[in-house]
Amino acid sequence: MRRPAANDFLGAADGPEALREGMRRWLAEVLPGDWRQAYAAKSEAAYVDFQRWWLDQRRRVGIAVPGLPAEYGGAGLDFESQLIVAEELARAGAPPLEGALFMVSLTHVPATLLAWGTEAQKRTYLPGLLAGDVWCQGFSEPGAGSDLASLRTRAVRDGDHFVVDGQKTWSSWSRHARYCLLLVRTDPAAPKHKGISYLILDMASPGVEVRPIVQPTGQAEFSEVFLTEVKIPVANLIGPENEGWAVAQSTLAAERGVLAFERAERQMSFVEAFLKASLDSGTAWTRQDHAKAEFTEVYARMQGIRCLIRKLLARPHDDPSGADMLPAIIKLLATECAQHYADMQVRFGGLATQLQGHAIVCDGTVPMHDFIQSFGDTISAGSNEIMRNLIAERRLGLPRG
Amino acid sequence: MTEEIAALRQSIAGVLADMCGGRAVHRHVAGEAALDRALHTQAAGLGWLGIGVAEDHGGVGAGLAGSAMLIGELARVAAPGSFLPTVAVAHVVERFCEPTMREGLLAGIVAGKVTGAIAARPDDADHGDTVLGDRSGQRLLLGAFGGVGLALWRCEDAADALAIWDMTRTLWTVPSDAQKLCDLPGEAAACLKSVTSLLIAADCVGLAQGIFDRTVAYLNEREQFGVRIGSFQALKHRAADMAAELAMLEAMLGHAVAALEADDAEAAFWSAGCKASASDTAVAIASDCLQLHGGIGFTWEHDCHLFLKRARLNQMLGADNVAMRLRAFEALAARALAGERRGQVMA
Repeated sequence: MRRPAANDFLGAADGPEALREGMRRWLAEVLPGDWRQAYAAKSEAAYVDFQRWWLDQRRRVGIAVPGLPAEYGGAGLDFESQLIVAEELARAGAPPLEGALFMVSLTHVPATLLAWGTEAQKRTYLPGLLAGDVWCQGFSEPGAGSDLASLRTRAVRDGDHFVVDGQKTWSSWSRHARYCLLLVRTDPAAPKHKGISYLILDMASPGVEVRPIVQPTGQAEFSEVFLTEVKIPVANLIGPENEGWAVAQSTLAAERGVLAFERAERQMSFVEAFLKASLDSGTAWTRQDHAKAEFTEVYARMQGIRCLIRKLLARPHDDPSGADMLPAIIKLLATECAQHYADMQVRFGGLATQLQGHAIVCDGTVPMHDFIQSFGDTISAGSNEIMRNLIAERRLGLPRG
Repeated sequence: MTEEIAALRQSIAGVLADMCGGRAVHRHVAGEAALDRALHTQAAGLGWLGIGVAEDHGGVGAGLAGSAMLIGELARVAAPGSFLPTVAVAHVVERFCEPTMREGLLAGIVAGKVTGAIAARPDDADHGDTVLGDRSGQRLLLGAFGGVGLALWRCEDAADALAIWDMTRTLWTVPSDAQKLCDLPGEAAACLKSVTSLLIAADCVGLAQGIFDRTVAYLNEREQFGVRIGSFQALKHRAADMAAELAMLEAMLGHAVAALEADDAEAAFWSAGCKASASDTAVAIASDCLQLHGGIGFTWEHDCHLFLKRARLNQMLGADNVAMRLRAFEALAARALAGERRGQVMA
């Protein structure tokens, strides 16, 4: 049977409203309404299988990577259409990209390769994203967290290969990954930002060892990655040698666009569902003035953040950041608002929130899980303290300490 | 913000920079100059007073977005005067007064001959007769006084101003000589509430930005321990948090303005919620800015206290912020129970 073209199926060619309708129709048809509950009791392996199944569903209608150009197998949707896709996925409570198996492959990899990759790299790696290649990030190291540019994983050129030794950490889903976006030091004599290069690591290479790290939620989403005399072909260099820091900015910027948008939309869906469920069941907090006032304040802040994200996304793409540091402001506000919301849900829920259920928990179902998990977001992708430094120094022009 | 409003903002900010610097405001506060009158005359001459009024009615036609921008720019320099109630009255008169009366009243407001005054705390039994606006001159007073519904009144005799902490605005008690011009429908009362809340929020965002900008400049210039104090992370992070709050409030305000202009079902929610958030945050920011200035911030001569007191008055205007949030919550709850979802984002 001929696979229907994405645009035909979802109606993107007929304009935004048709796409929105198409998305809703498709989601109603294909998405199991109880997937969160269904997977809550199962194993990590079952949840991974489920995510693979979901990626395949998305791929079939062309929205695995909605913005990926058609020449690399994507639907090539324009930016407005990408936002509609993200908004409808969030609204329907579809499995999230963020913090999940395919986050790096569907978000960071296309952003990095489209901006910096050679044509050969694009043709080699981009189609595989749609087929379910899992990627991870090898950025942070035990001694290079907030001060990422001080990373010490060493790559020494040896003919047509680099030989890499070092240790990476906080690498999400790396136990399942086929490839890794790897930052290495290629020139130890240069100033720290100038001696970094950006490589693609095949995780099956000899000398790669992955050891899981258990988080305070009890889950082990990320791992340490040990690299011992790992050979990486020079052809896997993304961007010029020793200019990996600039390439890494493209990777990090990817988190601040559609991903931030989807996160905010998803959050709003959770909040609305929480309110409805609380009202329907007559939960105590819905009769307490201080609680109602707090809920209203959080809701209003969330909406303010949604407006800020739209303001960011409305900018021309060649001006992604600007001197006002809006991405950093959004990261700071959104992650703390989510943390406040989870904290509030826990307080509203009382002792019942302290009873523990399942090992595999999806965001938006268990307040205590969301509360603990929220620290992952206030710490990762540049801790909020780093965001404050950036805002103070670059937006406000305050002196460096 | 449209390009037209951005251009207007630039020209308004330029005039205010000339007329309404910190020293001028302090001279006003000391009773050495009537800056409020001078600004009002200048505003009339430049057409600011009709910024939200339709062009057909002699205004600029920049709508609520224009009015909110004007109020924000004035607050940014802690401008004294009765601009907020005047602009609020103009909006209600334009929408709800009979055409013949409307034309005359709007012409008077736009020309600066008449100022507006509104109930400071309409639903508060203890302060139902307290009014925000100029205490003398030709005034159009809008409120529900003496237990009757919303009406428009004319006042001419000077009233005794109440002594208040904020020295950039004036409160007084409804005088006995007020003459009723017309009754207004219930929708006008709702409109006044929303417009007033929104303009108070605009004042809050403007004043918070104003004192914040001065504080950042101070952190960049003041030296202790041989370095500029803005290099200390403990202070820098507070400044960053304030910058983030301000960016969010500005976005929230833009959303509230768009909702009200579109006459969206959620407009009342957003104006009330925005007033509550903006005024609480403005008090927090003005407080922290005073603290960040250290000793110099704790002097009468410095600007910090003017902004802090203005923020405090704003917080109390309209209605108590908890009450405003509860009102907003009821609107949210009704929508949720009806199965409706998702506040749209207009901006």
